[in-house]
Order: sequence, then C-alpha cells, then structure tokens
Amino acid sequence: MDKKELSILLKECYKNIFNLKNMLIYTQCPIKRTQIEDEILFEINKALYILEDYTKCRQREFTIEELSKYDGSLGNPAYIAVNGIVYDVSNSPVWGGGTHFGAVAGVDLTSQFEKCHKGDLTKLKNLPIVGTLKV
Amino acid sequence: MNIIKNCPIIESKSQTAMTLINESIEYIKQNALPKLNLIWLEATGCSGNIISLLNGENPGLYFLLKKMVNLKYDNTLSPSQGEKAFEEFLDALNTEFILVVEGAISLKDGGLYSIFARYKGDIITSAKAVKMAADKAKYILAVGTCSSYGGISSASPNPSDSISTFDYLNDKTVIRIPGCPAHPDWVTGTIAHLISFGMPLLDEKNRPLMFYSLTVHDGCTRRSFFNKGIFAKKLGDLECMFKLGCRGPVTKTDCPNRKWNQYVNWPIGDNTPCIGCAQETFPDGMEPFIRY
Repeated sequence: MDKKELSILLKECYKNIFNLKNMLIYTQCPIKRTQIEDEILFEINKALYILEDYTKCRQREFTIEELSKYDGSLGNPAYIAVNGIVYDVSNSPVWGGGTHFGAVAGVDLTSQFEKCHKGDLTKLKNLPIVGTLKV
Repeated sequence: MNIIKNCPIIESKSQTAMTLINESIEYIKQNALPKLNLIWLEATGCSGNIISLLNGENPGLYFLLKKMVNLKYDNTLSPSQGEKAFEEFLDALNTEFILVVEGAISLKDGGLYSIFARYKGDIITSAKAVKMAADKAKYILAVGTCSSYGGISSASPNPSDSISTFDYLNDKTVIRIPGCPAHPDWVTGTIAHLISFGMPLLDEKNRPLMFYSLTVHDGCTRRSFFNKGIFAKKLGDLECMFKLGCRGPVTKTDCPNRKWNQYVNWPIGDNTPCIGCAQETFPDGMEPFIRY
C-alpha cells in the first residue's frame, strides 16, 4: 500500500463517519441512535486497522547483528533501539557522527536511556521509527 | 544649504553619536568606577585559562590590569613567590575582591594532589585556599571547563577525585565560564559587567547569557549544509562535519561569531569539528572527537 491508496481509504472512512455523525444529530429514537453509534465505532476501527497495516509494511524487524551495521560510521545510517523499537538518529542534531554523550549507535540502548533520561519518552517523539527489534 | 543649517533636527542628528560618546566619557571620568581587586586562583588544572587571558584583545590584558582591576594574586603572574606570595594572598582576602578559580578541586587524600602553598611548615591545599577566598569574595567566577563542570581533571577514571569548583562551593553563587580554555573576552566581559553593572543575566546553569545563549550549531558558517543534508565525508571537506562527530549542536558558545586568537579563526573555520569543550560532559561525553 502506498501513500495515495492510504489517503483514498482514509478519506472514505472520514466521509462515512461525517455522514453518520450528521444522521446522529437528527435522530431522536434511542434504538436507532445506538445503531448509528455502533456504525461510527466500526468506521473508526476500520481506519485504525488501515493505519496499522500501512505502518507494518513500512517497518522491518532487526536482529541485533543487523542493527549493529547501522552505527553511523562511514556514512552509514545511525539506528538505535529503545524498548524494542528501532529509531533513526542519523539526522538528529544531538547524534553527531552516530555518537551521543558516550553512547554509540547500532545497539540496544534501553538501559542507558532509562538511566540518563529516566524513561522520558518525549525525547524519542520526533525521531523517525524504522522498525522493531527481534528478541 | 541655508535650510540645512537652520534645521535643528539635522544638526542634532550629526552630533547625536558624538554627544553621547562624549557624555559617557565624561560620566566615566567624573564617577570613576572603583577598581575592584581580583584574585585568580589555580587549582587542579593546566593554567590554560590564564594563558588564554594573556592573549586577550579588545580589551587586552594591559587594559584589564591597568584600568579594570587590581590583580592582587595569581599563581602564574604574581611577581613574588613562596611564603611572601601567600602572605600577599592573605592580605588581599581582607579587601573587597572578585575571585576567579580555574581548575577543578582535588579531594583525594585531603586534597594533597594539588598544593597551593607551604606556609610556616603547613601545607595549604588548593581546596583549602579556594574555600578561604570564597568565604570572603564578592563575586566568584569558575573559569574553564574543569572549574565549571569538572572537565579533564575529573575525567574517567578521575585518579585525584576532582570535582568542579561549582560543586565544591555549592552554597555560593558561582558564575560558570566554561571553555577549554575560556575565551579571554568571556572572562574580561564578565568581569567588566560585574564592575559596572553587577551580576550579569545568567542561564539555568549559571553561565552569562551574553556569551552562552546560542549553540555553535545555531551560528555555524556551515549551517546551510546541515539544513540541506550535505555532509563532509572526511576531514578537510568544506561541508557540514556533523557526520564526523561535530558537537556544535550540543555546545553553547559564541565561537562562530567571536572567533579565536585575536578573532582570526575558529575550529570549524579550520576544518576541525567542534569537540564540545564548553559542554558539561567534556571530555568523556564528547568522545569520540572524530568518527569516520
């Protein structure tokens, strides 16, 4: 699935939800209302599944050995793993040369992250996710 | 011509700057600001910051010593030596003075790794001398990365148990002027501010905002290469050296604008990545300095 297909599918979902919402406003019957509400929830679920499918096919699973190739040296991309998720830090300003305050890219840095950032996940918020770590 | 001559605004315009300058010169002459005393102590360090200060320009060391401060004591520049020098130090403590400490404070074995003086058979450690002076000082400046954060003196494995002057004097307000070495302008600028206007604006780590408000990356001459994603592949390339391990993005100084050695050049201008010498975790956290 590419970006174009995704946007078409999501737009369809959005349109359905919009119509159902309008219907809900003008419906008095409580039974009919629950029916419409159920339909809205179904549409939301559908949209979430579409998004999940899309992110899954973009991501890949890394083993520790595969991850170690992406250490930021010799122009390689710099990837790090935290809590099982692999992030791309190649263009993060604080990761000059694939290193960051003594930490080197290409490894699982979960324990160091916990120690230094006290599990503050907002630090990872802006990093692109490239995959998951295979345990 | 006649109109111009009669117009008071144009006339005053051409004189405004000169008037202001003359007024300020008059003000300085009339209300001559008292010269403050300065004590410059060297603890566990390499004397790099005093050597850097000797290289100062605008104002240079001559102006600093003649017009701004009375240098009462300095490990390197004091003319006297031995017990006489220490007596001079003791005398200076009874005056109003600015204390500058360079170098970290060694604590192992009671501070015996850094001896300040031998006086009447007693050994005076640097830690003790700094404490003595800090108790009486009007302002305290921690100059250099060792003094501000621990720096090279307290780098792993830290055989002398050194800590920064800032941590050692944790009950006092200490202005941090990090840098390895600190730029002479950062030191003289802060001292000048203390003399004329009192305490400068400080950031959350007690660094003067006028010198440490932006990162090296913010003002870097190669910033546009970074924004476009064009990176140097080896030393000597003229593009952004971020991928070689440049620490500009995490280091707050004004090096790109101020430059070094009489404002001639600076590391990135000479194709060397920033090694983050004014950064809190220097040198351990800033390693490796170059990676490719």
